[in-house]
Amino acid sequence: MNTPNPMTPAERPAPIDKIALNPEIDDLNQQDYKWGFVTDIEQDSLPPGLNEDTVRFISAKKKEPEWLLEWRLKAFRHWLTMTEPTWALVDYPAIDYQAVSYFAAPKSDADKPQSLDEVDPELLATYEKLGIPLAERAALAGVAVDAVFDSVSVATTFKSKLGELGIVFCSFSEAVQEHPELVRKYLGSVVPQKDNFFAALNSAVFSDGSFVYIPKGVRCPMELSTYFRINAANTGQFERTLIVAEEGSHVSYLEGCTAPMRDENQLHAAVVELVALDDATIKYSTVQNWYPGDKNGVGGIYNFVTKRGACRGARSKISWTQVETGSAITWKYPSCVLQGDDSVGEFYSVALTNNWQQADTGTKMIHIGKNTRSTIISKGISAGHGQQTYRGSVRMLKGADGARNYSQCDSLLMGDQCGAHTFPYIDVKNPTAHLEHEASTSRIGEDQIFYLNQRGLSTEDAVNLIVNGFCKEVFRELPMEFAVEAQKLLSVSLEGAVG
Amino acid sequence: MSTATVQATAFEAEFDRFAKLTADTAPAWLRTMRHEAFEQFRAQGIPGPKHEEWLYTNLTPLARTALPLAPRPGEVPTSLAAHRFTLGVETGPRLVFLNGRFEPTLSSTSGLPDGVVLIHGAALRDEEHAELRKELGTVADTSVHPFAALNTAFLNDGFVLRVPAGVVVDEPVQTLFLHTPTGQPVAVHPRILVVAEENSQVTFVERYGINCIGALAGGTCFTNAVTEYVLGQSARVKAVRIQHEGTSTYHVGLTAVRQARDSHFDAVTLSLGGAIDRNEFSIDIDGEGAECNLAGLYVLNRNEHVDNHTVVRHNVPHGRSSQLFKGVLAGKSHGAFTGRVIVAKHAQKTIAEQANHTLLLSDGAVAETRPQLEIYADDVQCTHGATIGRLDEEALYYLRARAIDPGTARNMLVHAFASEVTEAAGSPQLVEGLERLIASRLERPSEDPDGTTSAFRGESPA
Repeated sequence: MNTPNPMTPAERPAPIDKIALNPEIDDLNQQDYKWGFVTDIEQDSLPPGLNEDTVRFISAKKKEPEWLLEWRLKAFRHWLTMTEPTWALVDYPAIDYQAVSYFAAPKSDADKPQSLDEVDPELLATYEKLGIPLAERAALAGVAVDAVFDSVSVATTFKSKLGELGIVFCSFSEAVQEHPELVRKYLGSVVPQKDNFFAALNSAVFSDGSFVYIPKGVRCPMELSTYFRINAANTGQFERTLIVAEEGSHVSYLEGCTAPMRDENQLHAAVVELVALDDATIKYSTVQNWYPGDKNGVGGIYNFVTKRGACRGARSKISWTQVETGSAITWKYPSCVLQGDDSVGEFYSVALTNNWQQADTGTKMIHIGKNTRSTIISKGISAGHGQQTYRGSVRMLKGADGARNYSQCDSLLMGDQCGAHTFPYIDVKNPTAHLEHEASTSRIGEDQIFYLNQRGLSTEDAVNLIVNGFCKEVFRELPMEFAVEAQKLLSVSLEGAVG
Repeated sequence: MSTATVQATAFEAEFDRFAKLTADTAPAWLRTMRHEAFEQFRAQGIPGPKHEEWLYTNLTPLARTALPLAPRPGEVPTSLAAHRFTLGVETGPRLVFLNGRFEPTLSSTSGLPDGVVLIHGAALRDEEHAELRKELGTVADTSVHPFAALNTAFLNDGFVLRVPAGVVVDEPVQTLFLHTPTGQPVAVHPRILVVAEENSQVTFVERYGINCIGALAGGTCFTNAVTEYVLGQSARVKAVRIQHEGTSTYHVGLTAVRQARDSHFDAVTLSLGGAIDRNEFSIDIDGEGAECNLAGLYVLNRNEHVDNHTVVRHNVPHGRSSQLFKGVLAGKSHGAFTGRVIVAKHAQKTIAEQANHTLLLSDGAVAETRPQLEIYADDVQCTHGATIGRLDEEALYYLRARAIDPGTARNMLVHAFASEVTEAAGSPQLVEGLERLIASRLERPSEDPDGTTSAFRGESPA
């Protein structure tokens, strides 16, 4: 087994109390056991619980170099000192972090449904409505099919093409093995381990994710999508993504897909870091449609995500586009740190909460460089018992001469049980900066629906039409195929919210 | 107590001293009220900058400073006796309070229509006036406003204005709160209750400090004012609040309002400088068809700090509210605005607007704004907007091209920016009075007690 250099006992961090109290482990220590933990390295998953051993296990399992293990441990030790944030306007039962299993290998084929017949018919009906090709349905539903709609071959073709241009697009684990210098240079440089509670947790136990590197001056010829690495395993609940765009490069990255994904893990805490150097552009689009829980609000994914992009170089640009329709709890604030002069940050978001979903989402734009510009367009739709909050921060620091921001946050309410809230935080320290913020909250006009009814549209179609119009400014930022799917997704997600 | 607050030990001894001192004059109801309020204050502590509602204003230094109540003033300074204290409105009732106590020699109650009740001091404490002060303490929520609790704990010389049903008070009722210099830090806790019964109308002016009177400068002061308004059905109240106490003052003011059906509450608030000025509005729209309009202006320089904080709760359907706050920030001043509109679940057909616009005139000025909407009903129209920027270069150029010097041009534009707020005061005399105050702030900095040159004076910001 190709293992990284084990630590000598002297280098090993002092064992935490639990370990010291455990004679078995002490024995192991004396035997200079390579990994300093009890769990069998060959086993596929960890029992629930989180301690330093868990972190060491994950790191070892991924054959990570020592520096990365240290990096994880540093994050973990800091996490222990932190408390879960409570400022978000979301309400969920306390999470027992010791009851979560932090590492599970992908399910073996034997455990999976053997054919589409075994899959929940409701899920299939949704696929039908979204117009997902038959071949893909099986993959999405987690059916054990070998050649998943040729995704492997598709992915391979892409990979060779990208390789010619020097573009690296692989799973995070692969990147750690093959491009450790790049990972080491940029990992945590945008979202440090200590950034916040969930980022610290992710830094300690992240399972896998994506890594993208675009060399100098290269324009990535295609949209990079996680969709094409669907088999790169169950990317898991603690996903870590790192995208680096060198000078003058350009990349568009798509994350997620419109189809509801089958997922076993309730707690998700992902971290995404983007680095754009001089004149580079990164466009990051997300469609998130994880399980939102049933009609009564039972179950559903808790999604605590830290996404941040650093516009390090002059004239660099980072653009976030998100369509958030899934998850029971969403806690997500994709941000841009505009360090380079003339850099640009954008945030386009459509978030929908139906039934009992709760979302506290928004963005942060931090203007540091001169003439930096940012645009925020946020559209929130709340239906059923959904509660939605836009929470955004725009900061213009002292040196941000001539900085500009335009923010627009609109909320649409459907039904008298839902809520829509807007909490912007605006902080300007430079008199040459210019900032505008507007927000509105309203419901669909009865006269608008009446007008469309008159022209023969059913109320449901009328609402879909109006909602799509409401979100148009965001949808047009999405890559073409995504935009079409996103529209369908909204109408499906809103089913039952009207009337 | 959460970790975001600090224990206010300095006030404990002062409260004991005060309770002993007034043990003879305070009736039982008042003693109970004070003790309960002090317990609430103790439980809440002084909010620190990590407290979500107090992010921009740090008053924790107060926790360590012993602040005795301002002493009874001796001789009334002659500069005061000669002063007319009018905002362009010469007639009508004027009530002057020195160091928190009513000063009859400077006051006049002429021009009040029959039936209007105006009581203060000992009369207010009197058992026989229980009916007249029954709303006292029912609007300001001392369980969430620590400083309102502190104010209630030190309640002694309160002031009640009661306008009976159907009565229209034509002249504005003006009040003025001044401190005489004492050479040591002191505290005053002014307390006002205004009750406008059914179909009545009144304009009420509260002024804290007059910076142009040199005699009053000097001596750190902590002013902790609470004003409660109760509006009966279809009552109309115009409230004007001016804070002009100068840079040695910490000012915390809470205006708490309860509105019944179809009532109108219009407020104009001017913050013209202070070391720290926290200006809070808490409005409960409890009757259908009620309307509330808040307009605020803050014109700051040097190290002045103003934090406007509003909460408008639409508790019933068919309410309407608007908020317009504007800031002009020069020097190293700091202007913050936090406005929250809460629309309750069944408050359908609510219309709420909120706007905060800030002009930054200098390099060191900092503006922060948090316009917030919290909405639980669906059939509503709620909007908010915020802008922060500097004066329009093109407008300046236009004026310069017409041979207007840069300083005048700048002042003209600032005036135009501010006038939207002052005009909300309604009566032309009052509007003129407010505009004169702002003009003196912008154009005649020599009348500032500190006498430092002002960045408003036309020198272009670097």
